[in-house]
Amino acid sequence: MNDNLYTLLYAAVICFVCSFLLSLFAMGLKPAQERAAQLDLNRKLLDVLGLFEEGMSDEKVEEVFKNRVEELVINRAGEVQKNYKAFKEVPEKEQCELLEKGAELNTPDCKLSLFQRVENGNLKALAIPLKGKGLWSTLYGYLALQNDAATVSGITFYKHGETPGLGAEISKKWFQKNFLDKKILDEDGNLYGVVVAKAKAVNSGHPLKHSVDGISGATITANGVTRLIKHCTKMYDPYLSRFRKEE
Amino acid sequence: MALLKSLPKPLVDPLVENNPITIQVLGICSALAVTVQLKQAVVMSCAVIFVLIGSNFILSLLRKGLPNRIRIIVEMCVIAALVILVDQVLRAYFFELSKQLSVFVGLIITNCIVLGRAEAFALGNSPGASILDGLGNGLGYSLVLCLVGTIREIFGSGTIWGFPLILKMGEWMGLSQSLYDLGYENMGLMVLPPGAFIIIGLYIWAVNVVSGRQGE
Repeated sequence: MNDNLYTLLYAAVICFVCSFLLSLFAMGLKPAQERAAQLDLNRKLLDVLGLFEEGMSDEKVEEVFKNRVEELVINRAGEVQKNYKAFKEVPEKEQCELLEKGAELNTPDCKLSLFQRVENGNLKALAIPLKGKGLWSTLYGYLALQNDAATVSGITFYKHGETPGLGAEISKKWFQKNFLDKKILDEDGNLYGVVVAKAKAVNSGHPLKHSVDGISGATITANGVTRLIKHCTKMYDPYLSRFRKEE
Repeated sequence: MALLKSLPKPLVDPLVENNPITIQVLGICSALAVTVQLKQAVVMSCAVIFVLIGSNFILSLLRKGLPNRIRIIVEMCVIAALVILVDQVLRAYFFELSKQLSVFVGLIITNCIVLGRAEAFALGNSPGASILDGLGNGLGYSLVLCLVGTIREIFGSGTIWGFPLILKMGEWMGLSQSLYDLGYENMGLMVLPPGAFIIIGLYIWAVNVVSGRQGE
């Protein structure tokens, strides 16, 4: 009996000490973790918007982001919503489920975030969040378009759980570079998206301005990327088409 | 070799002679998963060394009063606490790397080396010796991890610590085209887990041949 009591007490003390110390550390590290996550998103956004320079310090990233990137929230019809704060990470609920599922148009009050690079009152580039299924995981990223709202000026993925060396190559520069100057609209102004080919883009049967080379061993991830680009750009189409009309 | 001999046995033994991966064949899972690139292997090694030293030290301190019936539970509790701590620190200060390592940091908890050393050494030895044993086994693990990571990164991705080795090699050799243009291809197998299996297998074979050790 005494023995049991000792064992119980011993276990209780160990559990208490471990959990106490851990929660102490977790609390202490939390601000640094959140800051690191935010900074990572800001850095990725600056990168797609063409504002990032190699070797930029953390402070510099924050400063440039604050001064040169405009955060906006729009609704499904493309109207700017004044009183909402933009979400850098595609939030599951606020951003409506549309990003993932089929684009139903009957949820007019859903909110979409986007990020614009404006210089002297002129739009230089804008970035929209991307979200969609890859092979193992949901891919999160940003797609940036030039001020014609039709030409890709950058793409990045900041969160995914794809196979390193295969699907995870989507977060590598060599893959993302191929998207530059691709068109998401065809000649008639219809949404085409950018297709990630299986193997070489030249042999994919899609026009070269709408397709990029694929990654061997990562066809399903690539198909996911193709799908999510088309899907997410469609979501933002009402807003984007305003820039197209102005030209 | 004389220097090696002069070092304490618990530290030196696990490096080659009683290496946790090649001889004890423990911790193979993470050795397969995080050796695609050298950088990941190094960070993972540091994490494992820290956890091993910490758990060996703490459990060695606790060994006298530890009730035998809940021995394993207490061991897991201590190890898990240390691993979560490492994970939190990585997330705060090495965000990019912690994203790449993802679940494998958490999986150190189930890494048999850590529990194995606690059971086999820390519970029967003094804290000082246990620290050395933890460091030795951690280094033994790291040695294999970094070796496999180096080989896999060079042949699988053509880079080393992110540096495009194969691409530059053409320049160094004074060729007008890069080696890739001449038909060199990265070996896709190396990026996948079987690549690590094969390298570890070959390494164990090499170690056995050199040391003259016979299979059981």
